[in-house]
Amino acid sequence: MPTNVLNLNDLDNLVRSFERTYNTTSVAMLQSKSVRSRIPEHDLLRWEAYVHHRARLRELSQHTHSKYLSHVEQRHSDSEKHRASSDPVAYAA
Amino acid sequence: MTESLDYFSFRRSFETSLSRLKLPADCTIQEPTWEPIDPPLGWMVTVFFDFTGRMHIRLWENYDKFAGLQMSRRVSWSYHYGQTTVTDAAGRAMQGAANDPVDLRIDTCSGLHMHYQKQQPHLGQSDISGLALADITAFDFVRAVLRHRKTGKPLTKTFGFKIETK
Repeated sequence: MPTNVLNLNDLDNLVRSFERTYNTTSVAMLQSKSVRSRIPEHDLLRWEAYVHHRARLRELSQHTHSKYLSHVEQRHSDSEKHRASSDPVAYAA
Repeated sequence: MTESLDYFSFRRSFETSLSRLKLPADCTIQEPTWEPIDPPLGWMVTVFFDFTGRMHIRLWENYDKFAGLQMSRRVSWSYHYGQTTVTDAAGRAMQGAANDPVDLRIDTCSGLHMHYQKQQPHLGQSDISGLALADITAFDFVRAVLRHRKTGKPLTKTFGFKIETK
């Protein structure tokens, strides 16, 4: 069965493809009645879904990234302290 | 199919339900197209049923996490039955144009509504009696269309709705 696993990049491409096809932005598609009236309902549903999933993935990606950064900063700080206390000469060299 | 689910259990259940449908000889199912998000927090699925006489059913559903729940649920959908106007090289139905003929469609575009025998008007729940639009699942839709095709009864009977005149 055809399965297209969509990551953030794929969703971005799908959204842009709709924007190119209908020569408008996703914001206009979501907000403007006149823009929506010229787009078939099935395309509107899919476009909205891609925009929504992209926003959710961006949110998740930012959350994961900030968690990672805080972890890296913590590890870096711990490591500095450890090195300084266990072998101050080597650390300062 | 509206209950909360995860992608893998939903897909298993959906494909089992598809395989259990009692289809008439003049109907073939196209392979469903799955679009899971990576990671699979949400997903979309599309299925076409082709009938002789250039008619088809198209099912599309979109699932996503809901209000902080661990599982996902159906958030938007479109169930369409109508004439086939566009086909691929193998003669299988594809998505048609906006103004294609429609026998019946239930979709959530700009709010849940139904199209019956024409694209306009959009019939909201308050325009219909006897049928709760939100309760119709993809497989309810398919079974009702199959009953309509088998018995020749109008879709209003096999779905059990009446359009309210105002």
